[in-house]
Amino acid sequence: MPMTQDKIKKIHLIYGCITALIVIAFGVAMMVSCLDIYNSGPRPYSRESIGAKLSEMAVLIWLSAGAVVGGVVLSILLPADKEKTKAVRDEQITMQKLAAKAGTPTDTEAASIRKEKTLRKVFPAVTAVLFAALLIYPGIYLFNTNNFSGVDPTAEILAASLIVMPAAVIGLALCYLCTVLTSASLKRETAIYKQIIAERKAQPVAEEVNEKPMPINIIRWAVFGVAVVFIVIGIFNGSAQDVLTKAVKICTECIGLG
Amino acid sequence: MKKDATLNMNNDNTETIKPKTGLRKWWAEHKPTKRRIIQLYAALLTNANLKGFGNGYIYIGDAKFACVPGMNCYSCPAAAGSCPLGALQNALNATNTKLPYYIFGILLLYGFLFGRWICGFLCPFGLIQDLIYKIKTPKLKKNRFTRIASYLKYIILVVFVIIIPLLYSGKMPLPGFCKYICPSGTLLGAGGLLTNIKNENLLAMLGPLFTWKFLLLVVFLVGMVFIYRFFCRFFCPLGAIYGLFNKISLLGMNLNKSKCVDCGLCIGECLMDVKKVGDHECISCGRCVNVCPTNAITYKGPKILLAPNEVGGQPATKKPNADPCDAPGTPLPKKTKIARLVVAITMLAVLAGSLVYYNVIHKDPAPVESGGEVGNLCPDYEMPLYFEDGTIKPSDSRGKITVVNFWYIYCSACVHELKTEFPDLHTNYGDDVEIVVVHSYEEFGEDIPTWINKNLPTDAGFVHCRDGEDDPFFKSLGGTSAWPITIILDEEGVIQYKMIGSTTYEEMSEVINKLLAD
Ligand code: SF4
Ligand code: SF4
Ligand code: SF4
Repeated sequence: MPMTQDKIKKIHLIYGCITALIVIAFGVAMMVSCLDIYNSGPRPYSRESIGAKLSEMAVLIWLSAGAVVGGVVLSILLPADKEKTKAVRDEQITMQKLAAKAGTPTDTEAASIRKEKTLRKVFPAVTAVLFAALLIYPGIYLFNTNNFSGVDPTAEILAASLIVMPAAVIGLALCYLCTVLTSASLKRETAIYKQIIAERKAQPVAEEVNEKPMPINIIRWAVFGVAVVFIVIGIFNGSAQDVLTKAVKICTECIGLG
Repeated sequence: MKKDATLNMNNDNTETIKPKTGLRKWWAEHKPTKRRIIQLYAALLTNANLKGFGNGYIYIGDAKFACVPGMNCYSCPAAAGSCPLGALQNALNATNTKLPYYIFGILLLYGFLFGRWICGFLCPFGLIQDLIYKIKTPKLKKNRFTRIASYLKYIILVVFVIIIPLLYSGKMPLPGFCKYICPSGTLLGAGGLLTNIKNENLLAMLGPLFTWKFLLLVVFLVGMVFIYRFFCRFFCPLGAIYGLFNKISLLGMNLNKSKCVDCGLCIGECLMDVKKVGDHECISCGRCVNVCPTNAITYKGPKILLAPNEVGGQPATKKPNADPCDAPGTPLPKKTKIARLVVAITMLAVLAGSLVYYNVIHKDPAPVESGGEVGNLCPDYEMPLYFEDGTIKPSDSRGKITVVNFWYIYCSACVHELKTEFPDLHTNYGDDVEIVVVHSYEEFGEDIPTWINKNLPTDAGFVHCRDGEDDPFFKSLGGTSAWPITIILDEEGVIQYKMIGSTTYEEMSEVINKLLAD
């Protein structure tokens, strides 16, 4: 019996949501088990303690494996068509193209356009200043070597992270705000050009491509040259030997031992 | 770009399909693409020491001198080479003695050759994420917020990979990213080693750090199910470094601006946070090649591995998930076909050769059966002293309780316990207990006595010496490649306590008190 894509996609969605819940439950159970073991006393990890937790989670483990395999079986039995690709255009380029098409604006239009352009310079500038201000204290903290005496590095790095990371997160949030505002401004400017084009039925003009080509080949081969020179110096100054020395011993940091 | 994260499943299509075509359609969409084959090949080649999974050892041969291009923990038992990110942090950590030319050169070379093509084709951790993302669940698509969040990896690069190792340079081995974040280390390194029954003793070493790293790993793994390349996009400092080279790398993506009609389909199809094809976020996965209606997007570089999808003016194939490398087009010239065959045969020969070298020719150190177990007399080895002429051996301290600790200066667990757990032994037991601190044989090009004087307490009563070539004393106690080890000998020189891994003052003093009471 042929089945509509509509129905197939609904089945896939429901199956996907169930699998998602199982995956999340599995992740949470793993984390809770790990914390349980950790809190169980000194030297808590052993084959027995881990084995006991895994057997407690057996049902969830099988369920998760079943859900993954079931997903494959479902796509074989009821294949869903691929989603149509949605176009995502660069707002800046779209605006530039429309600007070229619109030709010369009137004075009032030009004033509004200028305002938007200024705003789009102000937003990043303000963001940059705020970001830099945010980084002052973490910067001073990081470059004060007394904060990193090496007595208890984990505690020192935790303290540093608590200072650096909030600043970084606020900084990224500021950047997000900046892109939202910039995008809104681009949309307003685009709307002005659209209006000009609609009103004057302006003729398209030749599109400007004013990006200067980068002297890529020069940079490329310079990088290659520096790379080779550095590797050769590294072999002689012993930094290559250090890589080997460290790599042939189990890295206690990598695997979380110390 | 879309404003909000949305589910990628909707139901606007009402076509019907013939159920009979299910398996064939599924296979057409899911059969391994050329990119996937190269990913699997690279993962196997850079993890050719497969016998490590069986015997629980990491590979310790000279090939570890070379860094592999992708994120591939060198503490994974199968790892054939070194992780460039781990090597970079350790080199920055050692800048007090020498400048890290070698690893800078390696990163520049990989950047020049591949850029983030490595992420799409060569990195095993990228492959793992690609496969996990295939689990059938609703997916969180990219949006403006994920694009901003993609800059987080640069902050991680600066803070954890560069600043922290530099701050502790000469004081403490501290590869910040490896130690506090890296999921590749937890999954491949810890996962590969600790799940082996032969490394059961390492489990006793696990504590708060492992717990933190494990929780983080679970968050990353769950994130990878719902968000494409969750780790690569937001957290990976290695991808951040390679991304800087995307514009100049020999391999990668090329966008022909004169052909581009700015339809936006490429960016819509792309799962990474790219703004333009080939920018610093592009991993050369090739998805966009398939949807570009004017064939403006091609692979850069020689056509020997991948056809650049030149289709002689025809629109590129738009079959879902068809391999862009195999897109129909002008047939390849005979010369290219022959070259491809030669390359394929060479690649297979290299893989076969590596598998034979790592698994058959290279011999891991055999476990030394010299009875260095609790209850046995301690094996006797002569060790050169650091601060005096002459040597010392365990039997020299008969008649006294002796604590022997094995360490090396790049091991932060070792240095930490020597700074925090051992000094109290001398304070509380004075001359009743002899503390012998044995450094691993290697010289590191470091002046170890100077390092000791600068970084370890000088009034802790430590007798500093080093093991013989190839660390025979360490190995006689069951040591392989995991430091530290601590043993406590009674007055007759019999081993009464042995800890492979970090120890604590409390544990040691409990044993010493018992021995003193006897
Ligand atoms: S822990 Fe991560 S960064 Fe460090 S060596 Fe291992 S894989 Fe590389
Ligand atoms: S971003 Fe990092 S983990 Fe991801 S593929 Fe690239 S190197 Fe590997
Ligand atoms: S879809 Fe295209 S632009 Fe996006 S990562 Fe893949 S190759 Fe790069």
